[in-house]
Amino acid sequence: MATYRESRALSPPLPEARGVVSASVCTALGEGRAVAITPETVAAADPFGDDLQLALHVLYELHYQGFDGVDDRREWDPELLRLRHHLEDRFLGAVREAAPGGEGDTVDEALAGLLVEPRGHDPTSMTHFLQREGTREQLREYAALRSPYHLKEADPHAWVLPRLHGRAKAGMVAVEFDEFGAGHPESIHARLFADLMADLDLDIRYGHYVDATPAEALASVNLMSTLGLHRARRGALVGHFAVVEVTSSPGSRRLAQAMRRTGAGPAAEHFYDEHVEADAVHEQVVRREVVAGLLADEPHLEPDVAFGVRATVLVEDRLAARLLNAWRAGRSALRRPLPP
Amino acid sequence: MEAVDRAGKTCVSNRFVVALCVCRRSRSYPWCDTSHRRRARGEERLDPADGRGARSGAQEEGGRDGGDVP
Ligand SMILES: [Fe+2]
Ligand SMILES: [Fe+2]
Repeated sequence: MATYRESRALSPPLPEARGVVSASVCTALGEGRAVAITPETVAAADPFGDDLQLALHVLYELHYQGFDGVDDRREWDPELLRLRHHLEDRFLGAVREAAPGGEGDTVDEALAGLLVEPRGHDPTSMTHFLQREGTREQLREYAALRSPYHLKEADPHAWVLPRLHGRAKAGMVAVEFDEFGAGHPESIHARLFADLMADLDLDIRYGHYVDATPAEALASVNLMSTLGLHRARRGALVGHFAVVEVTSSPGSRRLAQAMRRTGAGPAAEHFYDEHVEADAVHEQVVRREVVAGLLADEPHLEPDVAFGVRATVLVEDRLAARLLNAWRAGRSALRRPLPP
Repeated sequence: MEAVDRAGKTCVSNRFVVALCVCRRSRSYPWCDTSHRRRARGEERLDPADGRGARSGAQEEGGRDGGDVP
């Protein structure tokens, strides 16, 4: 077996712009100039669309891995941060409108629907689809478009650690410790995902598939980043994490079966098998320690936690709809098909 | 953490906390895989093992590891 080359050994090139907003961000970074864009242009951008989501993605990546040829100090460029603030307001405003909370918005209510598994087949679920009829090509597409998250799995949630204390902090750190390999670099979940990608003959280099990744999948990662980076959104970040951990175990079971059925390879199976068991534990710790611990200390955050839950469900449902529409029509779900 | 299943087989987990399956539906027995969850449409599945209804909120407990994991 070839030696593993770290997927994040290098910073990726800047992606291709998808409209005026992302073009102004990429040009400013690529040419080392100040960003120039009017508030009217931002206000006109579709909050869920390719242009705004890619612009946000690029701005957040300055905090994770940066870009080849871009000065690392641009992470704290006040003009870029100001623009990011406008884009975040557009995005989260649209999410709030599309996923409004009811009267007496409780976390238990927001999570209740997720703690129920469908009896039999769920035609709106992409993991049910992939389990039953997903082809190797569709599994490769799924891995490629999830790679902007899984190659930095659990990193967006680590931003919340200094904003928590007591039970919530201890629980969150324990789950993150597991996500980061529990002391073993070869078991870091991001590394397990790179191994999965290698089984599927995908390029493991960080950022390689961003240009092919649809807006709906970028939005999923952008949501985590915006919730993680703002202390004011710590409640929503915790709600987001609860959804990820609660839904992961049964979904991972289905994806592990899809990998086995298509003969994807041992690392591809292992990534999802590991998540079946790990996330059954993570779910318990997140609900009992992180969510309950946070709300015991800061009960006023309950609507924020519930918002984080609803926002995550909304964004993931939009992604599932995009993928299922494309695959059921026999089309690629990516912006450009993968080379075979 | 070591758990012995009914067949007497010893299973080992190095996780910081383990979740033990007590509904006996797990396909990763003795570890929980969330198979205890209630099914859609508000129906309750009777647990053939002990006749109790399985509902969300009455699931197995996440058991704290005894402390043998660093
Ligand atoms: Fe993970
Ligand atoms: Fe997890």
